[in-house]
Amino acid sequence: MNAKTILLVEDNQSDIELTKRALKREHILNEIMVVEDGQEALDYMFGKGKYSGRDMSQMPTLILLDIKLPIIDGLEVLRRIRANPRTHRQIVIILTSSKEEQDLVAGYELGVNGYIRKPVDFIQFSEAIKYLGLFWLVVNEAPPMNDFIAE
Amino acid sequence: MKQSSTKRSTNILVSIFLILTLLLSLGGNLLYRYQKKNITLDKYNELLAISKLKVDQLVKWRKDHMDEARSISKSHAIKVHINEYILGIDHNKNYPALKEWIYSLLDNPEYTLASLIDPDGKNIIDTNPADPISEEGYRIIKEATSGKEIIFSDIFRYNHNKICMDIAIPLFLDLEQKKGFLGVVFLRIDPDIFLYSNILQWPIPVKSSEVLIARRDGDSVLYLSELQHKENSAVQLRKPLSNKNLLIVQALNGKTGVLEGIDYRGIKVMGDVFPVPGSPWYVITKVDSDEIFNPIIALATWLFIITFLLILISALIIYFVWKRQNEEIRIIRQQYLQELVDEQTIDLKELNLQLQNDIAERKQVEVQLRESEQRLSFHFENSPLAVVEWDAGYIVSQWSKEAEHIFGWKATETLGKPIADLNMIYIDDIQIVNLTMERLSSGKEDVVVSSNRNYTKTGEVIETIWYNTILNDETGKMASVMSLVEDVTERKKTESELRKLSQAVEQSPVSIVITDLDGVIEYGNPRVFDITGYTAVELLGKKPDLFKSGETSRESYKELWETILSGKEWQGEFHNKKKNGDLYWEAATISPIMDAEGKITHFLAIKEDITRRKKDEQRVNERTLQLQTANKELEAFAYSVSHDLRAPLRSIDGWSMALLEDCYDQLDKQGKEYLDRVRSESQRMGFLIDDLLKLSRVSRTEIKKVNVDLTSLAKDITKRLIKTPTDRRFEIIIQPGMFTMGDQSMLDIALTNLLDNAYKFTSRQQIARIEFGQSVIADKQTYWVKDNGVGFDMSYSKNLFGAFQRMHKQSDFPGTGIGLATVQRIIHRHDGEIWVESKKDQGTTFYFTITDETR
Repeated sequence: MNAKTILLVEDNQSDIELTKRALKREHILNEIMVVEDGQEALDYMFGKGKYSGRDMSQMPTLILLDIKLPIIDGLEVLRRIRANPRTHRQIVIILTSSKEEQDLVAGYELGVNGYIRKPVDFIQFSEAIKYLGLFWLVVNEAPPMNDFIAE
Repeated sequence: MKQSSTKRSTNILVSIFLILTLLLSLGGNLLYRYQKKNITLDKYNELLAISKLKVDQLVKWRKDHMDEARSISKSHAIKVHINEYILGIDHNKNYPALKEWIYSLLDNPEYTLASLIDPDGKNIIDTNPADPISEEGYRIIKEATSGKEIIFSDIFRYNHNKICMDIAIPLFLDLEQKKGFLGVVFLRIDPDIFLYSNILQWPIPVKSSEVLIARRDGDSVLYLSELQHKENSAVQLRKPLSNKNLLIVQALNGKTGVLEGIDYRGIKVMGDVFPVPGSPWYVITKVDSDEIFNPIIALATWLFIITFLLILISALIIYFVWKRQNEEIRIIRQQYLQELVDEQTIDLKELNLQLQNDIAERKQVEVQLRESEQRLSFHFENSPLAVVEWDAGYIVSQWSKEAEHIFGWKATETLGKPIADLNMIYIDDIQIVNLTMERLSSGKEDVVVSSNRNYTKTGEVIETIWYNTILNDETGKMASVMSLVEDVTERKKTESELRKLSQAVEQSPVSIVITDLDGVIEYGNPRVFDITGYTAVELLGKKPDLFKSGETSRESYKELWETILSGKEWQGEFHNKKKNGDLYWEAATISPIMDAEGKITHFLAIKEDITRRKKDEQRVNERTLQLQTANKELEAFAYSVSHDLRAPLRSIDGWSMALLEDCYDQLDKQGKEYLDRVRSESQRMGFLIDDLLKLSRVSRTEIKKVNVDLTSLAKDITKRLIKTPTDRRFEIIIQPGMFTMGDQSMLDIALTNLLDNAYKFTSRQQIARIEFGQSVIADKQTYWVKDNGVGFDMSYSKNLFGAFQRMHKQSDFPGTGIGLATVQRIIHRHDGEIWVESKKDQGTTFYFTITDETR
């Protein structure tokens, strides 16, 4: 696994494809790991369920998280990632359709690193993905490896 | 005096004794007579009864023998034997049979001899040849033979000493016809065997009693039975008929019943003499008089002894009583004398004391009289009532200090002057006063009270009450009138005030209840009865517990009592019950009423029926809840819209883009154009959704009012608008210093929309002129946004503020048609109004007001 894996948490097939397309269009070639519901995302992050036994030293560089998700919604996934010392420094960007105030407030309260509302216009969306990738994958210094792993 | 009383008591005692003695003697005597009569009567009856019994027995005895004799004379078989024997037939057979039969007659023990005499007078069979038939026997045999009847002899003696009684029974073959004479059967009875020993015996043991048989024999009486007191006397003792005392003689002389006389011994006896029917015999039953009277004599003796003893005892008792009385009288006399001396001593002492008291009293009365006079005049002078007195000539003789105070005239100005000179009667009340004077002088009433008005010296009118009393002289003519006058001006004023207050309470639209310290209702104004439905009778004297519905908590009542008992006012609400059971709400203020010392005497409850308000509140609460629910639903809907409705639009746009990019070469120009249309429509839909969400957010977001600087807000917005690079020219005028209370972000949205519209619709003007200001229109602070843009025809403006309402073509002026709807919503949420004035090609002005409570 590439060290700079992007974890895309998204249940809408069109959105998955279009997001991948946008990433590709903007030449972001990081490996993209897609999970389609909140439970699967958590299983992946904590090496449980069908991801038990995966190499836990490999953590995604960036998590793109939708809010409306089956089983466990995105805000709850965020809360658990932040609550666990192994994952609490993970860079999580909310990528969702809504800019409802309640979602924005809840996201930032839970310590999200960014909140991007997917525009209807694909070109605008693609632009947003470009800047996102540029910033978080290139410009930004990633947080140190988790304490748990350092030990 | 005491001496004579002793004598008298002695006399009384002696009299009592004599009377007692007399009574006892009389009693004894009467008892004796009574008992004697009883005993005598008993004996008489006894004698009579025995006599009758004996006679009956004798008659029966004789009848028995007669019956036996008759049965012998009827015995046919024997008669056949005799007949055959006489005819000499079968001698050997008949003779023994006859003999046996004659002997069988001796089976009766009374018979001592039985014989059969043949018709010739020859003794054929004789059971006792040693004691042959006597002369008398042969005489009755002859009598029976010739008379053809059964003959009984009397009792007689024969052979000098033997006593017997014979029976001769003639036998005839034909008894009916007395024919065929067969002879005579002879029987001898020994009277000793049954008659003397059995019949003539007394049935009960009495010593001197005796039963005798006797008969008359010539001029004497012959005793036939064996006498108790004379041996061998039977048929021997004779007594001459001349002896008239003899019982038997008395009977023979015709006396009957129980007789008193002498017996054969010459001793006094009592007895009964009775003739035995069918015989010459008399039965005598007798008892010695002595024996009869013995118990009577004994009784007399006893009675005498007892009477004597009783008299003796009473004598003794009376003696002791007399003696004791003498002693008591002596003591009483001594005590009496002592008491007499004591009494006189005490009387003397008392007299002495009384004399002293009288003297002291008289002195005190003098002092009191003097004091009383002083006090009276003091009271006159200091009486809280004015004292005014005038005499028959209406000349004032008393004018107290209070009179000076009330009326203003000094005593020096009034005394000795006619009262009429003062002109103190209020002109309208002269009638009242005249009437009072008439009543007074009529003499029918001692006190006449009148209420009228008076003038004071200064001419002020005062309300007064006059208590007038009249004093008449001996002739009944008025001597003087004294009046106590009370100035009640203040009181009347207070009363009138009180009346006003009480009417205010009575007519109050709120319930007013006054209770005592225990909560017992003493007063309730009419409103209380109106609301609760109880009558005064039902409510007064009860406690307000009557209203309890159980809806108000016990803690509330506890808190209420604690508050008011500590002297504080309590305010709260009750959910109470009416008489008809309906529940109602009351807002109550309960406070203690205190007396001058600050002690709580009553509680006052002022209550308002707030049932309607409560209902309204409840309705509002319900409505609010409904609204909140609706809001939540709306929010959930909006949330869902914002997420889910935009996603497909994104896909449409995204995949259209993908098509344009990936299949660029395969698409002709028209195809590419269509795809652009798809994309732009998708995006417009995205904007529509965003605007709709904004509108809905305006409705559902809570308003947070702050002081908003509208001037600077408008400046920021216009800067933002014009920032987009453009070659348009603007004239923007924003009035300085516009502030209002409102929601910052909402007012931002509203102003942005309005200014954005102005910006948009002025795009064709050479110089776009946009103004934002305020002025007072119809007394209201009104804001306006004015442009010189395209304007519109007002006749189509009806639905201008509805969602999706547009006045222009999309191609001319793009927009969603939601902006003004949002503005109106925001203004309404600020309790304001918005309206528009516009003319085609002459610009548009939007006016709006904002209700600012701080202004």
